[in-house]
Amino acid sequence: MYNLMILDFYEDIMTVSPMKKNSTYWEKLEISSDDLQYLTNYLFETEEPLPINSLSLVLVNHRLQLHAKEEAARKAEAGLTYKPKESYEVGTRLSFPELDNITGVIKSIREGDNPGLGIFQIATVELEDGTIKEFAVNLPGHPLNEIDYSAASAEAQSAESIMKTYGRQLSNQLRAALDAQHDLVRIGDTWFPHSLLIDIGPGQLNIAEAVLDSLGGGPIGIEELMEQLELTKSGENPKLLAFSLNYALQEDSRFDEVGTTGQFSWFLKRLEPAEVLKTPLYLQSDGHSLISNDLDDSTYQLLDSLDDELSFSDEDINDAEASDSIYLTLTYPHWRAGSMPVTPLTNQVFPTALESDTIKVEFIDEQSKQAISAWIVREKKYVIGLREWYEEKNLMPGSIIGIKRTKEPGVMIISPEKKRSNKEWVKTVLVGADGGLVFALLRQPISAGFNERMAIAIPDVAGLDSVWQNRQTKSPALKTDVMRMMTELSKLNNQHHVHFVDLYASINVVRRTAPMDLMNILLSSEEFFHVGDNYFHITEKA
Amino acid sequence: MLKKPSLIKPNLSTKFAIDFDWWKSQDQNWRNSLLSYLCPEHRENFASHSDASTFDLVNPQTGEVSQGDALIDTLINHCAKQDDFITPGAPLVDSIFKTFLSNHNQPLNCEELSKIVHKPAATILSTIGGFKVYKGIRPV
Repeated sequence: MYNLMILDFYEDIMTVSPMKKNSTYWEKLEISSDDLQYLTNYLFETEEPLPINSLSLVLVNHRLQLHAKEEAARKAEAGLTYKPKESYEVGTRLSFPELDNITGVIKSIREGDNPGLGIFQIATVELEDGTIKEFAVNLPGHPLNEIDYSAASAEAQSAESIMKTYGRQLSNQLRAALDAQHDLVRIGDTWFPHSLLIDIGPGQLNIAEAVLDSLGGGPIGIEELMEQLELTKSGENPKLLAFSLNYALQEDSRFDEVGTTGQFSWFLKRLEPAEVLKTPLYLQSDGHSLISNDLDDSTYQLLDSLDDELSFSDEDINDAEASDSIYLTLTYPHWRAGSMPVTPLTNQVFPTALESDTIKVEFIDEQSKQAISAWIVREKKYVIGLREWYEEKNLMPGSIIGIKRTKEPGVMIISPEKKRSNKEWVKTVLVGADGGLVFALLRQPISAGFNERMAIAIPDVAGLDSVWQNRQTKSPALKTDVMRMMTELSKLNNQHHVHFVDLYASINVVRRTAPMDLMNILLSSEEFFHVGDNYFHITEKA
Repeated sequence: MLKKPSLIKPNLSTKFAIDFDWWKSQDQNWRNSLLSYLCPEHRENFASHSDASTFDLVNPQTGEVSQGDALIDTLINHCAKQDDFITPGAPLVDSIFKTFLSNHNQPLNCEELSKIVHKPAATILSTIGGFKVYKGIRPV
């Protein structure tokens, strides 16, 4: 049937072209042991540590050279590239770029018969897979005659264009392959053969410890530390020297690398603040449920909008795209600990570090320009060191804070959301003599913009601290705490409904609770039922 | 096997195309009718070939040769590609027929045809969606 024949022609358009084959090649590239050996040899010859992007470029160039050699050998064997306008003799070997570069030998030639095409010939070709096909030859007016395969090949073989399209994917693959071998070692994202490292002895590391000790722990940049250790006078390649010293410090548990990406900065681990080494009480959580993908869209969005670090995986956080500024609502645990969560939201303005879990950063108060020293503890997903600033700005749980990036990766501008100072009706926690909590709506002085559902005034911080200390030994069940909190909050309105966000903010006043853990309790217990719009109610029989 | 006439009445969303097999079986004059759509150069070449359905066809993408109807192949792959193939003011059936030849006989509904031939979709439907089949244009 002719209709089917036309469709067959469309399918033929889909045959693999050299460019398409080329793109598939890079998409499906697997790093081989030969590749790693080549890169190791390359670093041996150049004697200079290379970052992963440069190594990827070396790899691409190496593969292109191999490909060019194979191509030359293949062309020598394949013979001529088929063009319909050319005349060929029986016995000629041809390659067919539009048929995935298959090759074949002309077995016979006959006259073509088609009034629409004029005079032409047809070559019967036995292809390398054994099939016999006929191809038009001596046919000037065919579209294939216009294709310049050498130009397409040259364009495809630019290493820079390959890196532009596949650089990120190739670097990730190469990083994983390098992590799995032992000949090359890395600092951050830079690699070098272990056997070529300059030896940094225990004596030099002891001096480095003394230098950092005299600085109150640090931080100190690698160039300055090299000066202090008088390594720069050795006449060695400075890049290799810096790499070797960084590596020796990295392998020694006394030191911690606290710089942002691309900036090596060292600190003495034992002099780091206690809250960096140990998670503050208020941020410690028994449960740690990530937001489930099984939730309906609106519930997922609700939990996601709370921006709780317990809700997200490292991958979720690291995938965040950078932005210039964000707004963050404080919860009681972070307000009390003087911290901020590291989440997909806040990570948009926080600096990255490839090697270190701990980064020393600086916040600049937008109004006073005062610098606040803080630490990002990525492994535990918090930033610590802001307690004094929260107190100075009279912030409370529920206050909204703006954070802006600056040109310097480790420096951010911080400010409370602007609001004219006045008094507002706010949920207020009152601590009883027996340690019991009562929530009441009271007029409280307000200094910054706030989230109405998450705002909670804490007049008795010391009393609440005692509650947290006492609860450490008791470990009450989450469901019991939720019931108590629901009972308290339901007294604050006539319908006795409690919104999920109010409950989340309030339960976190007495225990660190992930939104998903709280939602699981509400949805799985018959003591609570969902009345709609994220409001919950205590059932009658409870 | 020839496709039987559909009992479902076509509507504006029904796709149409040229059913060459059906046309050949129903109209002995189909070849002469097709010849009139060739460009002058090819009309002269085909004039001496009154009926030969097995010519050497050349795939425009790969150069591979297969056997088939050279008249339809030349019409679709050459003549229908010429700038003056579809002329404004031509009869509606002619315009629709030429539209299918120029798009490799890909099925179109009356709304889509309306945008190409600049005639109301309802007029097109009443013309090609009725009982009489013009030039093999039928619902697919």
